Amino acid sequence: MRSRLERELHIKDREFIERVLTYFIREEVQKAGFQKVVVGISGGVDSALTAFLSVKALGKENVIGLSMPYKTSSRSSVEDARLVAEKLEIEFHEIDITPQIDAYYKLFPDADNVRRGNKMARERMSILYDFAHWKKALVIGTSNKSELLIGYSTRWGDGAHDINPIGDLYKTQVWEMAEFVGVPERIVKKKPSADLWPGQTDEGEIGLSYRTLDQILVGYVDLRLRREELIRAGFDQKTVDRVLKMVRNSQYKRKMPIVCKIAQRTVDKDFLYLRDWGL
Amino acid sequence: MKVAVAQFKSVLGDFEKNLQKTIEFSEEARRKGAKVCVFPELNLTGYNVWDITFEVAVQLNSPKLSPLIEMSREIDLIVGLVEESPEHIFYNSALYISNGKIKHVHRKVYLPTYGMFDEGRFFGQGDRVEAFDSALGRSSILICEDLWHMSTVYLSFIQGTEYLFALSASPGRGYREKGMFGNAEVWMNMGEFYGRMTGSYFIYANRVGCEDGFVFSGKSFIASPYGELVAEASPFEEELLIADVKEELVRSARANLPLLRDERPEMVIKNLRRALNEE
Repeated sequence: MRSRLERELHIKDREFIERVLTYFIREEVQKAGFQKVVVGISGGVDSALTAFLSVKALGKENVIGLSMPYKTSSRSSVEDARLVAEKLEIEFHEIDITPQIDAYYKLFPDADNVRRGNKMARERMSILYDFAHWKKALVIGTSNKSELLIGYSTRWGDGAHDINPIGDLYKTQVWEMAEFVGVPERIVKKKPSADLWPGQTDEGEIGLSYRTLDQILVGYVDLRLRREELIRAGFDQKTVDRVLKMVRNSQYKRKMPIVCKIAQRTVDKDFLYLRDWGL
Repeated sequence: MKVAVAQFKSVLGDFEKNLQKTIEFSEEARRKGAKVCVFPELNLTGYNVWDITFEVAVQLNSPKLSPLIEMSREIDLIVGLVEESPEHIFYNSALYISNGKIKHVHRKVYLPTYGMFDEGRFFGQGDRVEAFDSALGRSSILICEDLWHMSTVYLSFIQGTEYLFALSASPGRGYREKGMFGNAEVWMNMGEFYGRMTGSYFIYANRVGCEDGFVFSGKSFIASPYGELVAEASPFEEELLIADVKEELVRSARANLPLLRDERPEMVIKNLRRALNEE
């Protein structure tokens, strides 16, 4: 079963999937009346892949990259963000978010890392949307399927954007695609990190490797396997339970706010139209 | 005789724009000498209509259809739309329009209501699979999910269908094939298989474009009564696919493989009755 799960994650024709993702970007951006996108480039592989796909879809003149480091962001993150922008020859802005974050936390000097990290993610979102308005662009998201499913994101922070080309790619598939589209090797190979505090790594924080996580997720989500079947596939019970719990507990992050129904038709419930209505 | 398949991109919920483009494709098909021009499922409305169903529905005597009725004096058309019956039931229907008249209506019999599909929520179920005479010869129209049920293909076969029109709006999924989505490959296998097993032409018209991240899988095709692809469209682009269909090839295939001659519908009925405990 476990090798079946590994196979399930394998993208056979990466060129075709690249065509799908770039087609999606072009269609959804242009149908909505836009030419440009802004993308937050962190130096990590998700945003690098997104930026590469955006340039392939829209041309380098239509992609604006933003690097938004905080004073504790690692130097390599900042350098790798620059590398992506240089490689793609896109308009690029580096905006230090330290002043506004520090100004706020002067009021709460004891605030923990998670509070500060969330605030940074939302500050970056706020800047991306400011640029989007200024440059007449859409904000393109960089959340992969693994993090969407376990809720490894900040609500209304990195989780907020207009379209997301990589949200149906698990992290291990992001690596495959990133390598294929030409993301520099050192970015593909480095340890994934949200870089919200020094030394943070995703796998350290989540507590298991992306390979294992993705196999459990693809089994549970794509193949609809049950908990017992996943355990029988050779994953340890505690790990399976933890992953399933993360999925369940983060459902709120994947939904819009819920409305209390009192009338015949209610916006979030039975007022059913795609966003592409009329497009 | 020539048949044209219009691989079509719809504007979701904009009947007028889709109608306009349907006329343009029909004119091109006529110029190129086709006798029939086939459009995909719900091409006049877009696929994920949901609550737009009740806004884009047309009754068959509606003046909105006049441009198609007029066009049909020059070339026969198969189009997809939301049909509103006199009793105000809404169907996912396809019309065969010829020489100024709607000659045949197929109401989708199997409405997928699972996973990403929600048709049963909005549409009424058709209950007839009926062969009719098109400009090409004895024909049947089936819509998307209809064809995933062997029963509909059998019913069209047993009525002597030589030209099976398969209309779909199939959202792409599956990344384990080459050069196309997994579902597009299944459609091709189906066309080749059913073409051969029924000794008929299998004429498959699919959508392209994107609705809220559903990327339609294109790859419209025409398969011969020997189960060979005689024409094949791209995965993403709108295009008009034209192929020659030959009655003599249907004859040849059925002479070599007399499955229709040897078919025993009475035996099938008897066994169905038994299986349903009606005997």
